[in-house]
Amino acid sequence: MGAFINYCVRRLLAAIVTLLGVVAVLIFTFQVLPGDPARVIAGPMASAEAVAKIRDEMGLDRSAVTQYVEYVGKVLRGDLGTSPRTRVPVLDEIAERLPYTVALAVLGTLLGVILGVPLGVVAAVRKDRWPDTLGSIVGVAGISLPVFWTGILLIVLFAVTWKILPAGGADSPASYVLPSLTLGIFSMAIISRMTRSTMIEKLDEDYVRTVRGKGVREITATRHALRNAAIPILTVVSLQFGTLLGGAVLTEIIFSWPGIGRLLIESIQARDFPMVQGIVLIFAAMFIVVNFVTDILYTVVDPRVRLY
Amino acid sequence: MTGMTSATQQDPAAGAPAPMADDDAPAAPQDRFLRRFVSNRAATAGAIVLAILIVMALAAPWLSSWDPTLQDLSQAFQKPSAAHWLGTDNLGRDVLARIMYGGRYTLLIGVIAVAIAAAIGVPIGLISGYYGASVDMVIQRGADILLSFNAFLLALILVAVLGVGMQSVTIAAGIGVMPQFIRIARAEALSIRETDYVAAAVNFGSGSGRIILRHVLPNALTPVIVYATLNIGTTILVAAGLGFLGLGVQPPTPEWGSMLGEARSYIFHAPMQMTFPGLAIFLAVLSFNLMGDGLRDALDPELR
Amino acid sequence: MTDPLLSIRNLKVEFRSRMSTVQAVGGVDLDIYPGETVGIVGESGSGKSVTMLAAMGLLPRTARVAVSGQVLLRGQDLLQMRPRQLRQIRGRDMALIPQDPMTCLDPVLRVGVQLREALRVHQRLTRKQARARGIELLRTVGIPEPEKRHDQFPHAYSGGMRQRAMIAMGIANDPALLIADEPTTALDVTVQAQIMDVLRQAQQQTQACLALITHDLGLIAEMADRVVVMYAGCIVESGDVHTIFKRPRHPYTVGLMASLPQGGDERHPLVPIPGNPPDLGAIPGGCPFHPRCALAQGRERCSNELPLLRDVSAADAGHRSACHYFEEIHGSGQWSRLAQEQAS
Repeated sequence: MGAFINYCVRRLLAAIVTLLGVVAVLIFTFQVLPGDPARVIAGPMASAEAVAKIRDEMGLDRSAVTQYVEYVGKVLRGDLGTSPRTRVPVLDEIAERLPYTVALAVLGTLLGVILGVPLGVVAAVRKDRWPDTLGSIVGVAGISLPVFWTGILLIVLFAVTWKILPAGGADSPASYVLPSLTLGIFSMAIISRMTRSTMIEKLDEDYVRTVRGKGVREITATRHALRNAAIPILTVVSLQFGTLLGGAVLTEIIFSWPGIGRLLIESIQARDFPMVQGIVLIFAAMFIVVNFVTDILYTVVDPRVRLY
Repeated sequence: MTGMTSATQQDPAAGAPAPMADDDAPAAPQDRFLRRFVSNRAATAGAIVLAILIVMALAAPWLSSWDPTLQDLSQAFQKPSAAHWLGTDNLGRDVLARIMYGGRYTLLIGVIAVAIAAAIGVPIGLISGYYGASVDMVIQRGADILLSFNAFLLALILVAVLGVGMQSVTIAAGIGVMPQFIRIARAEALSIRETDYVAAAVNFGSGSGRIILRHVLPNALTPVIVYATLNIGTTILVAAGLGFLGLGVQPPTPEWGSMLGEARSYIFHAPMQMTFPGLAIFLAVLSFNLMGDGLRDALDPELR
Repeated sequence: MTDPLLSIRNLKVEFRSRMSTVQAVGGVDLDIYPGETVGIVGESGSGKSVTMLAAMGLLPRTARVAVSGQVLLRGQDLLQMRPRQLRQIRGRDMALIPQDPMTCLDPVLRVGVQLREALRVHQRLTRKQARARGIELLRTVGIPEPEKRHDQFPHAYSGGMRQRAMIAMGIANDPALLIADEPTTALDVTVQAQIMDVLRQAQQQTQACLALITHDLGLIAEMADRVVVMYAGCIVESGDVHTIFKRPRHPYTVGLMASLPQGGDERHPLVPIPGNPPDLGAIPGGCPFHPRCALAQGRERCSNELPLLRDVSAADAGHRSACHYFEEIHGSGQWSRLAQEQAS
């Protein structure tokens, strides 16, 4: 047990270090790199006083290191700054919309797993026969489809032509369907491809042949392989969750979804750097957390992994 | 202990082993590779589709008589006809011409972005993997930070800072996929480092830089090329996504992503407009993915 | 004269890929009688494992594998059986102890669970009964502290212990035929002797016949009653173990015997068989061994005509050789020295 806690702590420290690194990159990108960040934030129309005010408020005239330390301090106190555009604290805006984005990513992943894993397993077991060909086509098409096109297509089909589902907003349960489906298609493609290749590898292993030698039914042999394939598949599922968070940005725009992805785009277009910084930080934090949880889960699930 | 009751016969006619080929030397690896690639129908189909797209893009001025930026509002939203094979868009421009010219931008951005990513990412990854120890740790931490975002998000951030336009998009998309190249180059360097020929080179006193250039890089090239092909699809999607948001190539320049973004405003009025740019992106990405898969299968000694 | 338990007739196995066709087994006939131990000897690639795997129907199940011929177990052709029937036989009438114990156990399941699986496929047992029987089996194969070991994962076992666990799984249902595929290859020399004892004991307990697949001639000498020598997918010689060792009548077998390091005071140089194992995708015409055979010496018959397995002599019942000129082979060590002189 001690070794396990030790490992958790070490992974946690690594995660924190990475996060601190992310903050450094963000500070550099948004507060140091641009020629005159205060001017950019204030906008080309703003007066010199307005620009100076922003510069002063955000401490943009101090050294990079000072800015970094200040920002970290503020973050630890739960303060991500204030949006100069809306005059509302960044954290509040994010907190209000974050659940919507997470909901999409989770639903998309769920769909991806529910559809993708069986598809991949069947493709692997019936390798080189028609289920495999079908699965491969679905897989490669799914990852080639632009997420933003899929979303629009679904809207045209279900909201414009057939008028059975709403085209946007997050007002009703029905409105969750199309955005989740959009993400889910992409997710399913990635997961099914990975499941297929992992299963093929595992089905080839010696212990599967041994199991068959005992005289078991074919489905039992498949189950053995699947149990062993679960671990790599788990890794992919968590990785693609991160990809979905990125894809969520586009999906939210298309479906007018009140999540942080849409907020990000609006902020970028409005040059609202503090908001952008805050949102990106949250995205990165989510991704790091997911990675951390996966690492821990891995050691719990795989009996071979011995923690040193 | 009794022996076998029946006399064992080996029929000389049936199952006669095939005589050895006249040409004793094995087929050159390039021939085998080509044969395997071509026999993969999906990969070949992908290559053909890509070739068509490239031809359309390059030969656009000769294939289409329309100027892709020529507006004619009286002809807006035309259905496909003899004059306009794919119809016209919201400003009366010929859709087919815009698709063909647009290929230039989309495809070019995709390829150059990957080239940037590889040019920066591969050397970093090789150095990180070969030298190991503290260099590796520092670089890996950096790569981890970049990998905390996905490619699109990373590109988005960069565009937010670099501004819009074709150059920014290309660089942003390239940086977006660069961390992957670092990772794969590092993995290759790690395994190549352990090989006998590298050990021999070290014994002969070759400097590290030389070893990396002459031994590690050429051997790492193959998986890198496969990866690069697969990643062109990603950069195209990233660039198109940015274009869709209006953060990429600016109008009136036809780029498939921004065309799709413009079409979005009219999905209730003219849903047809968004079909073709999206389809074009899909086909381009699909062909690169198919070819990348085919490359990977053809180079893999174990045929799946 | 009793009937053979297992009777293989003209078994052929081909592996087809996009690039080439490899003939792994080219027409094998083999009988195994109840209670006997048959040693199947050959180099890697000789087809010895593939033959028995094909007999059990355990070859990779892709479109790329072509199996033909007959495999009769107590008169029933296994190759023609429906999968459900075949499954009843596997693990119960015929059991495989596979090669490489390191990879043959499912790493994510406890050993006891895997034993239980082997038992419950063919026997009606409750969990408790299966557990008790499993522990007993582990004890039989000599695993210390079987109650504790039963609930451990495979990675907690050493190589030798894993092999014992594989043997335990093999004998779990008292099969009539045990197939041991390279049981000692992956193990240290010290452990090999122990495993051989375990195998011998297991065989005695279950009265099963044993097909021992190996390239280790020492193992054959110790355990086998009969020997079958395979090369390039064909049987080149077969017979009683003493006969094969003392009076081999095929150049390949002679080469094998001669390449054994000889103990004693005199120093003899090791005599390898010249040449390389054949490329199974391009097996030479005629006798597959002829490119490496000192006896062939460019004789036309050797490179053109595939030799059939023939009785060596009327007196030597059951001793067969597939060589056109086996009459020219006398004694054992003598001939190999002759060959040495001729080669030099």
